[in-house]
Amino acid sequence: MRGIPKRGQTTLDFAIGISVFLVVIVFVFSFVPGILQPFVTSADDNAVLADRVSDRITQGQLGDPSEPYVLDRECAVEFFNDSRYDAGLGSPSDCRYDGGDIQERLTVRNRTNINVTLEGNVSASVDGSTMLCWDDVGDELAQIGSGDCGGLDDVTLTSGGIPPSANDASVTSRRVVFLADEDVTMKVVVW
Amino acid sequence: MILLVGVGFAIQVTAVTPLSASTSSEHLENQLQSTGQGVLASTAASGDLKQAVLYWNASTQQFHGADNEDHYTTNLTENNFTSALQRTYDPRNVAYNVYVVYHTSNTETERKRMVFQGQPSDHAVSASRTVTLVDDDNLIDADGSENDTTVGETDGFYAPDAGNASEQRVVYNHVRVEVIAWRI
Repeated sequence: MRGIPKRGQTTLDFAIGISVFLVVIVFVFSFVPGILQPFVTSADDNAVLADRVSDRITQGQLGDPSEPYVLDRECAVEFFNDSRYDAGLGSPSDCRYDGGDIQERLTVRNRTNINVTLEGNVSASVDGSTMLCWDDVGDELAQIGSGDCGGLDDVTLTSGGIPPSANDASVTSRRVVFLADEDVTMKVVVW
Repeated sequence: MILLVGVGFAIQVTAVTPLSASTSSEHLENQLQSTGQGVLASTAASGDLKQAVLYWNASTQQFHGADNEDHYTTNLTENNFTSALQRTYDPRNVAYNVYVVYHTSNTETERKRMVFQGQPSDHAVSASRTVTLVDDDNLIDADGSENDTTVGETDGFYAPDAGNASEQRVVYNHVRVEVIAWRI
């Protein structure tokens, strides 16, 4: 007779079996990426890292912990002086940071991409807020583009890698600090 | 069954945490508060904060150049402290109120508006710093120079002389400047 299946499996059996099969497949596919999670830095981790690093440098590492957000002029300028780290001189001995690479000075993991920059509007000749440099000749802060930053001993107040230009690939953390009688913005970018 | 499994999978994959990117994640609130602390600390170190508290016109009973009764709303370039706040917060679409909290007696305090830009949102954060006024502090004129009147002599200052007990004669009042900021 037609219609009587030869296999000992009813439609209900088939439905239950396929459901169990699908559930297991979905579970496996959703579980496996989770195994790799500890080894991948997500955007959440970057945000916390940028926050912690900027809190640490503004509240004690570049200045005095008893006066947060006020930076010590010499320690802060030497922090950004890439020529001394490239030459292997290391950090100044009486400042609260130590090491050569920016990752060592900020005590973050070696593979972290990080950049610290100071910005502000301190020069009358430049509109708006741009990157700053320390003008050794005039003994004051100056904006890049104002013409006072070309000297040999002038220090551009940025350190670390170049941040990617695509905005959603990086996390930025901003703080306001007091350096050399000016209030400047410190930007920490992690990507 | 398949639909339910699909929905369950989708819900489990997407998760909103306090750190998820939005207009008021924890990262942004931390940043707003620390930026406020930073502006207060740097204006205190340069002396501009105390100058802003004393930038009061005792005869007309308002801050110099106030555009809304006795406080500022849009005219924020009058003194260095409000200019610093404007420089820091305006480009980032952050609105802020500034209050000066002063003592009226041993146990009570009152709030005075210095800058008012509206009701704060639910995600507003506040940063504050204390300033001590002594009887010999001069009021500041509209052009930034010191007036001859000291706060101890005049009755027209918004904070009363709360330091009249015998050990505290020199202290005039102990005020707290609060900056409340929120993203708009």
